[in-house]
Amino acid sequence: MSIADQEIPYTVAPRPDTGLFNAKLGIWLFLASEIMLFGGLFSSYILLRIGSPDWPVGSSLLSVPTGACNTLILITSSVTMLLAWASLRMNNFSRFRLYMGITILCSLVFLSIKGCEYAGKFHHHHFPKTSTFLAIYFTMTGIHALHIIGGLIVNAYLWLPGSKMWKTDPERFTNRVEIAGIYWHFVDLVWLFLFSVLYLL
Amino acid sequence: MPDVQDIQKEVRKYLFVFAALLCLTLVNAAAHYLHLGTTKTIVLTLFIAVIQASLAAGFFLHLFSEKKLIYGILALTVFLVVMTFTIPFDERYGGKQGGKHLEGPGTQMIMPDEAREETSDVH
Repeated sequence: MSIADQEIPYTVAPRPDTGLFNAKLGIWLFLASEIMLFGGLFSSYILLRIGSPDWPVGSSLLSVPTGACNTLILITSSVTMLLAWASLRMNNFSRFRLYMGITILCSLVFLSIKGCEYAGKFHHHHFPKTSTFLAIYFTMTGIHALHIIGGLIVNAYLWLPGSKMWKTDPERFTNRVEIAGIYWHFVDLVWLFLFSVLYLL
Repeated sequence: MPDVQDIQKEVRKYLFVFAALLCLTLVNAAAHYLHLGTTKTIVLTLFIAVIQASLAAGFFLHLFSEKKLIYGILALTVFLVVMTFTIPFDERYGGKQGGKHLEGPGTQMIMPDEAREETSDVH
């Protein structure tokens, strides 16, 4: 048997030692590194804020309604992602397509709003070099937006070309959607803190 | 594959958490306009954010019913994140600095090169 013919083990069934299928353990290890990344950024934010004698209230530079709107959009996308996964578990592929489509649409709307926000800032000559607050704002939200783009690419793949796997290996495909969902919920969770810390405080 | 009825129950749970998250987001944004003062605003905002994050992590990421190995990975990560929070604070505010505010630009413009050179000459 050649290497190409060999199947990757534990893509569907859980490993006896970990109790998890490989991709699930993999995504949690990846998310652990992501927690370190964002943890470091939040730590920098707190250190800069406490060290500064005059830190601006976020709402004096950022629009709270816009940030709240983006929060609602991301929360909605998280739920539609879960509904897409639940639809596959109930063998309803057309519902999966619908909910995953809504998730992708929500992420596009989120990025568009973020883009408009950035454009408004640049229009008023507010750049990362302008102040420490804006530097940390652009860094944190920019890195978060890159994560949204990453999730969007994965979700779009699962929505269109990757969904062919549903016909050949439905359980494995369902697991893939679950893994993409775990990543997506994490990105949503990070935004909940970004919104609170940058826009409201 | 689990029973369809079990999955539908799960879905109802997700929708309930979804509604809670939407409400908490609106409450958090509305609380901002109450002008409660800096300390109260920080406490309230972070309190609501932590509740939201707990709901999202517990139900959406299924952390309320996950395997022990994942809790172990997360515990180690949280420990390391807490270290990234505490070590710089200790370096900056503990010991010699004794709680002083260091000079930080805050909202000020980043200094032009000439000004930075002058400042470095003084020190």
